[in-house]
Amino acid sequence: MPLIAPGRPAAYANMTLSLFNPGSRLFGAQRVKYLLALPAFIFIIIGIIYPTGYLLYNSMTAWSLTRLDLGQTFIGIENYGKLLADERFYSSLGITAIFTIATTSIQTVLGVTLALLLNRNIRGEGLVRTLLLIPWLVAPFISGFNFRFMMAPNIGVIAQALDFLGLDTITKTSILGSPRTALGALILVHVWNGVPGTMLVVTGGFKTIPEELYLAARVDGADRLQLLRYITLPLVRYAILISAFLTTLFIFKAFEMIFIMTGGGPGDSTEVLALYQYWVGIRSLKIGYGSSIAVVQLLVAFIVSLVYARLMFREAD
Amino acid sequence: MDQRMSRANRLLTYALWLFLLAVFLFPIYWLIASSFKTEGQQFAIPPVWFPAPATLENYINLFSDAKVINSVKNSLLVAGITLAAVSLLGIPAAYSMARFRVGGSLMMLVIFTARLLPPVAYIIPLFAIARGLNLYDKQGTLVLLYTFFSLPLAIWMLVGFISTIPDEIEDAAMIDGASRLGVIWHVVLPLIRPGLASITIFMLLSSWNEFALAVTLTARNARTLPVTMYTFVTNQNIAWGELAAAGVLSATPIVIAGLLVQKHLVVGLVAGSGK
Repeated sequence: MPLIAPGRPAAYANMTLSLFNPGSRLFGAQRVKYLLALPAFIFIIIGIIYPTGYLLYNSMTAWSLTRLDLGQTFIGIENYGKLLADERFYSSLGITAIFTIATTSIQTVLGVTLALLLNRNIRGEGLVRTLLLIPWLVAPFISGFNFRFMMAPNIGVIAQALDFLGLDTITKTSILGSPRTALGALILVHVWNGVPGTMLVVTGGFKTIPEELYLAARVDGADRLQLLRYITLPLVRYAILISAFLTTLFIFKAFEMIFIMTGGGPGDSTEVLALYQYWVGIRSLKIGYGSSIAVVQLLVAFIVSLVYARLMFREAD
Repeated sequence: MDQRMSRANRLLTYALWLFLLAVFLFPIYWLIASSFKTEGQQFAIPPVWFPAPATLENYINLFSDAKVINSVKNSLLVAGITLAAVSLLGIPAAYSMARFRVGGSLMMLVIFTARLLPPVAYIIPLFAIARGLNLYDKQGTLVLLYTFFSLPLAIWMLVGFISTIPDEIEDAAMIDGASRLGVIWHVVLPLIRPGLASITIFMLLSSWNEFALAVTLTARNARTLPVTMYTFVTNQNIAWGELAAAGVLSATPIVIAGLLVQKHLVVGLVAGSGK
């Protein structure tokens, strides 16, 4: 593309002019292209470095807003040492792992299944797909309130339905109030909320498969299962991978529905990492120790993101 | 693929569809129905499946609550300015990245990674910074943060869309005497209009709907609607009818807009994720 000569000293004078004056573009365009990108780049880079640096620094201080006498005393890696001996931290790591893996796998399998079921060129299926998008478009915090109410003991419609089906052993202590069922309920609610997203991405993948492939395979005598096995699934593999990774990242940082529905309870049976650092850092005002938990969270997210980025950038080439 | 289906097959398909719709949409129906129920109907055993007579009480209470009105104003203000700021910063940058490869693959990687950073992990430092710099409970603080957290996704998607425009179209406009900004405004933006619509939806999903940062960083003054809704929940009881009504009002615009640009959401998600 660049039909434009590299910048010359004289071009500085034209720098701002060339944004508006077409006549000078041959001299100014080199700089214009940087000028266009600069504000956003600066904003993003400062936005990453400043809070991340502050987070890292705080994680090495004894800072607590309930103990103002300590101030921001630097204590090195003491918080991290404390973390290694913190049972509640290990418990939240485990819960986060179960929650993330379970939600992502259920959502991916279900999303792919739905996408397949609704990709048969039957009249009306577009409408069904559209309507199924609604749960994804409703804000998680609204759904959080909604499900909390629907699962409320005795009065909630889901609780009443389970009682009616003779499953009142589940609801006796309330669905969200019992450590045995709360996490499962949260997983299902997150799946409900996220499945349309998976379906959307996978359906998008279907659209990229050329119709001729199916025709050719049919001429060769392939049946429907074979089409699925040898054409559809391999060709949407990439789309499935994308959505699985996005789901993993999204669920790993899930906060608001859990915060609203159980607050991490009962006990700490649904306390994922995101909630634990919130309780420590914001509610108990232990900025230093809370920060060290947040750093762990960030680190995990970062590693998963890098793997994902590598995958994407390689496949895209 | 299959045009010809047996009668049984067709019936089975429709039954399956109905089942799926019932499972996925019942909670939505329940939210809407609850917003029209009186307190008595709300807590009835067995449940009231359909609120008849329906009441508008919850909506009326909502609109006569000054706190709610104030927080709706805040939400609109914050979402609107965030959208403007993201466009102002993002469109020129994305154009420059797509056309001239400014920043190269390194900046693409930075943006990609920034997009995936979990805002929740930043709650504590942001809380500390906001308190220290006297930015707690200010609308501007939310605008700044939402802009930061939405900008990477916006740029990422925009780069995808802009790359699909052939250089020749722009060159033609340039030869006709248009400036760079003129080209962006008159040529590029109209061509990616569907993409812009889906980006707008994604931006709204992360500002109008944002809860975690808002609940931590705002109090009486700058509270957005989600935070005010959270205050409906107290230890004693939950003002469920009003909560449902507020939920319906807050979700409706986004749902409608999302369904309208549905096709482009697909394009946006797939294009926006690098394919």
